[in-house]
Amino acid sequence: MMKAKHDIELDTGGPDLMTAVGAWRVEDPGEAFFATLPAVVQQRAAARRAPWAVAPGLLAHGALAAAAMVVIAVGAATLQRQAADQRLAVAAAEWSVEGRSADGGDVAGQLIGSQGQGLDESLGAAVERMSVEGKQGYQLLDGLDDDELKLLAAALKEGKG
Amino acid sequence: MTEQLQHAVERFQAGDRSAFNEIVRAHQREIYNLAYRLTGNAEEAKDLTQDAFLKAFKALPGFRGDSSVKTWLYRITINLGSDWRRKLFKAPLQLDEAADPPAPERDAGLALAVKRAVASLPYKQRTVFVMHHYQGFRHEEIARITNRSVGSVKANYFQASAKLRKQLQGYL
Repeated sequence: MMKAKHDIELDTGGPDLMTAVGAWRVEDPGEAFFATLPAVVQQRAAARRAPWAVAPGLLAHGALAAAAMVVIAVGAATLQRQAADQRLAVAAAEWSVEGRSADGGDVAGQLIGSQGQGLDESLGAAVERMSVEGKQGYQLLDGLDDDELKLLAAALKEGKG
Repeated sequence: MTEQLQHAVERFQAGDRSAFNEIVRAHQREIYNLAYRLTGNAEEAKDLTQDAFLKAFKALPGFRGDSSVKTWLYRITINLGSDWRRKLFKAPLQLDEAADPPAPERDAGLALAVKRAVASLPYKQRTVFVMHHYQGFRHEEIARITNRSVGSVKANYFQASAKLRKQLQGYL
């Protein structure tokens, strides 16, 4: 009768092999390793749980620097946006008053500053002016960037509609 | 001991993280010994031991007690050891050859030969041989820890013993 697989007599190596393999001893890592292991494990676990922005080391410095860069970039973009709105308002105001004043630039500034002309109102005037002046009206757009042009284009579309 | 550790697990799961220290202290030496036999290098064994307990720390909240903590820790260590070996697959095994305890010349040569021979075994065979011979586990326990059949474990042990006998024949 065949023996089942797990019943096959094993080569346990015999006493000579068992004695021989016992010659290999484990190197003692030192008591300090075992004494500090629980604390080291807890420390590593806590470090992994800590938010990346406050973790010690270079990563934290890099992360804080990156966060600062983001804040600066957002601030710069906001300022740029405000400046763009201002230029857009000035350009629109120039168009709106050009027919009423010989030196329209200053008048436009005064209009925005003293009369508090809003962007929508300025854009409305610009749309009206461009529809009158045709292609030449677009030369006034030299000082505007792409976003401002898109805004104007949208306003023109609305005006025509 | 088992009841104490079970209580430590429950305290940890209830939020007392310091209870984990008791689990580490209870098993750190045998886990280090296993790690050392699997890696053949004290520094690697230290890292593997730390990693095993760190993984246990993270996984303990979900530990359901289907097996004993000891069995569970051995399983974690063996799995991590397998990952570690896979990473070093292309690199030669870093045996700590100069670090063995002083011994008569023949014994020192034999110790080094055994270390090399065990290190040359495929990981499954090495795991089974180390756990049975050096850690004292029965084949049934090894099968439970490694989630394999008893027959497979015994076959691995047979193959490992045959290879070691062949490699160490000059010393036997």
